[in-house]
Amino acid sequence: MLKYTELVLDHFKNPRNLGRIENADAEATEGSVACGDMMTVYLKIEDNRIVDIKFESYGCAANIATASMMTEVVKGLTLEEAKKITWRDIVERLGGLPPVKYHCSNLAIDTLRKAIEVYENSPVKR
Amino acid sequence: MRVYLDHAATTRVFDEVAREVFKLFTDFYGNASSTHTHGYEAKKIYEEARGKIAKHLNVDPSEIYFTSGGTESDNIAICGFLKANHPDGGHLITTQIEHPAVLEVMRQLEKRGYSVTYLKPTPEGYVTPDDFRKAIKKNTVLASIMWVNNETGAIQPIEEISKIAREHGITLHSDAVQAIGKLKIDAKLVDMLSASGHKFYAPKGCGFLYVSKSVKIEPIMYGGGHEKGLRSGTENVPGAHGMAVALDLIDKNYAEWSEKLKRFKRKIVEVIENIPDHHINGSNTIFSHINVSFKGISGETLATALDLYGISVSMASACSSHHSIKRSHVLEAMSLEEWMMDGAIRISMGYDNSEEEINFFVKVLLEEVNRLRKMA
Repeated sequence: MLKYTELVLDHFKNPRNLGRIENADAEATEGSVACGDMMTVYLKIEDNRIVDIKFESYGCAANIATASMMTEVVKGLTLEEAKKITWRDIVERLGGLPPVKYHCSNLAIDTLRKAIEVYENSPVKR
Repeated sequence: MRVYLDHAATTRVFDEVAREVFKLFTDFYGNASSTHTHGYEAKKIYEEARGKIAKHLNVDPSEIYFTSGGTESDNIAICGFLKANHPDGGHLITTQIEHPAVLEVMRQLEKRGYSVTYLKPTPEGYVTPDDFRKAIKKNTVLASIMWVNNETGAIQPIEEISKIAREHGITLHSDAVQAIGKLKIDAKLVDMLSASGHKFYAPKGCGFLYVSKSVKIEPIMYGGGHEKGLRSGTENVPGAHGMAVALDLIDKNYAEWSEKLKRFKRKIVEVIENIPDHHINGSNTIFSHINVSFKGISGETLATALDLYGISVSMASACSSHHSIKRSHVLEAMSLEEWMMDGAIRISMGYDNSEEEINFFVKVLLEEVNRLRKMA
């Protein structure tokens, strides 16, 4: 097994905010099954603030853990604040990842940013 | 509960073996080459061990050479044979699914001017006698074909290959590291055979090489001339004795233990069969091994998930999108679909596994496969 921190393993075993949001204000899917990791992020937004976030993941332990941590970090943030969160912030919060797993942590942030972009570009906003 | 299901990687030394080996560290510690009583006592145990191992394989004790393990045995067999008989080159046949202890030797030999054919296995994980026959050239001098593949557990058709090799006067070596202690094999089918103690409940750092009397071989390492000059280095008496005691125990309990593992394997396979979108990698596999992939779950993810429950299995590859972690050369050679290669985990049972452990394992496996799939 790759050397994961206790916190990574905890998020892998008990992912936070796992699932989907019906009537989400925005959602985005990034990655591909072919590349090994794929995830979907659902956002519920009020007054430009992320009031709820959920994710579904088709990925490795590192991908699931970073997605889980990402949702914890950005829940309650404004969209502007959320956009500033980087993969490094998430990895640091997790106590680090094995270097070969860095790219997996990118996917969580990429998908979040995509979902925010989808929201900002959608004509109807609540 | 901790459940060890990685016996293909290494085994827990049998308690009785550990007790026996311990005595050699404290009571019979003499150098087996010394001429005093301490040395003589050690030598006696050492030669008895050789006799027992020879008996297990149904060969002559003079044909057993103690080594440090599988890698050294493979190196001596292949390089020592070529050095003695064909130092100027020739054609060799092996398989794409060998352990690196054979594959890397072959690659070195290619650099030195030998030509090598690497037989491709079927998608079921074994090479065919027909392909072996077709690979033979006028200058084929040696073939090295593993007995049982370490990743899938697929048993290779040694008996048929042996016949063909003999018809053509080709010397046959087999890396039998995964077979010794599990299969009742007829060592005389081959001319040289490698084994490693820690794969059959003996200590790490010991192994042996069977070399038929009819084969001329030269050492690849020089020194004090131990093992009739083939393998210099102070005799590893604890290792040799440990291997002999382990094989003795296995012989005595073989019927019961092998039946037990066959039953466990049926149970695990039955549970796997009820999970949709899975693939068991390899067929005609040894009773200890199951190599399986579940679509949508990487082997690394599943192995990590199982590890959190104290269950140790191994993964064939990790993280498909990142090439710093390599895919299994064995599964790749079998031309499996991508998800099968990336999803593969190897479950390898041992004689010390209990029914309770297997029940726990299948329960967790089922739960975790469902859980990981539900995230998608």
